[in-house]
Amino acid sequence: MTLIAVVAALSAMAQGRMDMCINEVMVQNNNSDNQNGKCSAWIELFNASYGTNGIEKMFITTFKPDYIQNYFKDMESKSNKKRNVLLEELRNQNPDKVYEIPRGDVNTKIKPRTHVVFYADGDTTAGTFHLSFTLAAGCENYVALYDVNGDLVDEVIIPANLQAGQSFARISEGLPTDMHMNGNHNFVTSQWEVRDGSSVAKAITPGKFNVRPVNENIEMFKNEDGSGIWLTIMSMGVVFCALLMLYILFKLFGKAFAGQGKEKKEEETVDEPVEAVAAQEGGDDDEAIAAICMALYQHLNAHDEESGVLTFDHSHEAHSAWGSKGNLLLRVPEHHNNH
Amino acid sequence: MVLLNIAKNLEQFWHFTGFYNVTLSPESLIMLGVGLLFIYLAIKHDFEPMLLVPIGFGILIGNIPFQPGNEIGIYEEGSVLNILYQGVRQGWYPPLIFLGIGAMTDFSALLANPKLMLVGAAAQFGIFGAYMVALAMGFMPDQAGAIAIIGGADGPTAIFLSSKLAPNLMGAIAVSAYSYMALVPVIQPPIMRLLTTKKERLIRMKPARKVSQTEKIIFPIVGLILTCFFVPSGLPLLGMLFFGNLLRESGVTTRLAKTASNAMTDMVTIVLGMSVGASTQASEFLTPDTIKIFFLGFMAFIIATTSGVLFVKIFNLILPKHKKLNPLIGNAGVSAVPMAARISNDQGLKADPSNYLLMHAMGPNVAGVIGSAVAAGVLLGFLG
Repeated sequence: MTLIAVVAALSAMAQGRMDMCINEVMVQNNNSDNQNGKCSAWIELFNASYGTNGIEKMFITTFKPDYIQNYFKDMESKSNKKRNVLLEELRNQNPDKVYEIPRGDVNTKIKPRTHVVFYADGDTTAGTFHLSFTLAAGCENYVALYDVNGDLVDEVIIPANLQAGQSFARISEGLPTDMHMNGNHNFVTSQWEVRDGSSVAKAITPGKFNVRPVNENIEMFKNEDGSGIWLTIMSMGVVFCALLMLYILFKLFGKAFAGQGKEKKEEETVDEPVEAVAAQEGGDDDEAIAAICMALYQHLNAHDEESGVLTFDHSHEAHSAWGSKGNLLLRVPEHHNNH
Repeated sequence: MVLLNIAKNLEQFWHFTGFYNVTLSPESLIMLGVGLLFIYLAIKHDFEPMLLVPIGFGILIGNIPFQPGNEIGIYEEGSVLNILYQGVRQGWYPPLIFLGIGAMTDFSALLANPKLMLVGAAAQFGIFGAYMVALAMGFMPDQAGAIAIIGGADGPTAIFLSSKLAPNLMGAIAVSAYSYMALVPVIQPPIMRLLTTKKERLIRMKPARKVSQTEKIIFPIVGLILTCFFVPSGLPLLGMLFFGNLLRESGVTTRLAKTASNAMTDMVTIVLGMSVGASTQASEFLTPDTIKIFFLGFMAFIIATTSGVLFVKIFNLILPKHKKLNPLIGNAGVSAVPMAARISNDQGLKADPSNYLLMHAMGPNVAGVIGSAVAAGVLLGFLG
């Protein structure tokens, strides 16, 4: 049971909502509406994993981590409440600063490597994807994403100098490995840039990839290894290495087991006279070996009662039992009538 | 009025029939011919019948002309054929086939003489040689990789990789791979004779030692860990291959091994072959690219056979006299199990009627299965 519990816990961690990240933010929106006819700020999240992530019961807040950590410490010293419960309480106290993504909306199941946009218009009656708070123009904004357990998933500090019609976006969509490299999602300014839509590279892309996804490997091999020779060398190297390692290991295993085999062989000599005699002969004369085996077989009286006489018939076929299906089939003994 | 309605209904029905729709896509008749040819080759000439009959019949199923929109065709979402095709498209069937292959394969020939693993590795040059030729012919790297895997002479691996790298070419790649696997007895012997001398063909190899059961049990476990640490992208194939082999060798899961190697493999082979055949629709299949793919597949088999045989010859230069390998087992490094090993044996017997090479050739043959799966993993890692 413990093992099952551990495995279940690990699975839950593995499928983690920690792969959700804040991908792009616009504070002063003057060029797109939010489906209600309003031009409001928006926050784009990205599911960086390769599995569907349910984001219900996650929290989006403008409270800075220091405030939340202090709140947690303060409240945890007074009660045994879990962090998600504390966050819910914080949301109830400050609905204009904390938004909990509601349960029950199928659209909160975010498919792998896709985006979802939340409108910071303070109008929660408009639907699941409308936040309970707004972002303030002309000053620094902070947005954080907390998971269902109340742990920080991602955060961003939006600079105060962000102009109307500009967005603050990740330079490229984060990869889960990059994000989890240090076990946290601390905001790193160098991974973000201001976009104004003036060019393809500076496009504002709510709900879309910040950078057009391309298979970098294919592009690289196309441009730098047009003849394929480097890929061939590398790949053959890997194939050889893998099989060479297997060869070395099983060579060693073979030697290790050969000693045991010899001891066993001595014991088996008594039990299996047929093999032993054949082995001692050591010759290549198949017919002689077959004759010795048959003689021993009959001598040991392992023969069942049969009405006919079994005879040897010299085969002229150039096939062995390995190569010829016919030789593998049981043959009906020939009956020789002597009268 | 009634007659008019009947005429209208009949006309509607006429438009529904294959006879009418074939006038709109006459090229499907060519594909029906290809399907019939495959069935003929399989039944009359015994060319890989287990594969060519399902594929050939699948081609017939996939190329009967019909009016789209009724959830009939293999590419129409929701149709039964489409559901079966998902196993090919998403790469579910090949690992299941590999499970069966693992449960069927006795690796003792390889374990008895582990250096034969290197022969299996060398023959994979067929894949990468074909990759370079494919690039020179103008294919993109991912397409070239998908086509080149034909050189692994392993149908499930070819389907698995092409479904990931170049799904639009998968039908042609699969048919090409299976066709050349069936033609291995025609393609390989002349190359083997050309590259070996009479003296080399007469080399007698030392009888293999007996492999203990413990070694056989350790092999799939160590094999999985080692190869997949090198090439994690090969996990679906290698994982299932070694898992199937452990079922076989553990001695305590005989029932599972039997099911994996018989019933399950048969079922998956039926569905896989039929789906692949049905996916080869005229619009996708009858293109200049298909001709190029068939040419590249042929090249891949030639290069693989050549590299396997030449590697053994070179390897012999450093081996002591009593441990020399017969270069006729080099061709078996292309996986095509056990056909390629049988060819080694046949050629060996032609040179010396008492020199049986089958067991020796099974070593590189099964190493080729591992090698081609590793190569597929490498290509997927680089180009996926």
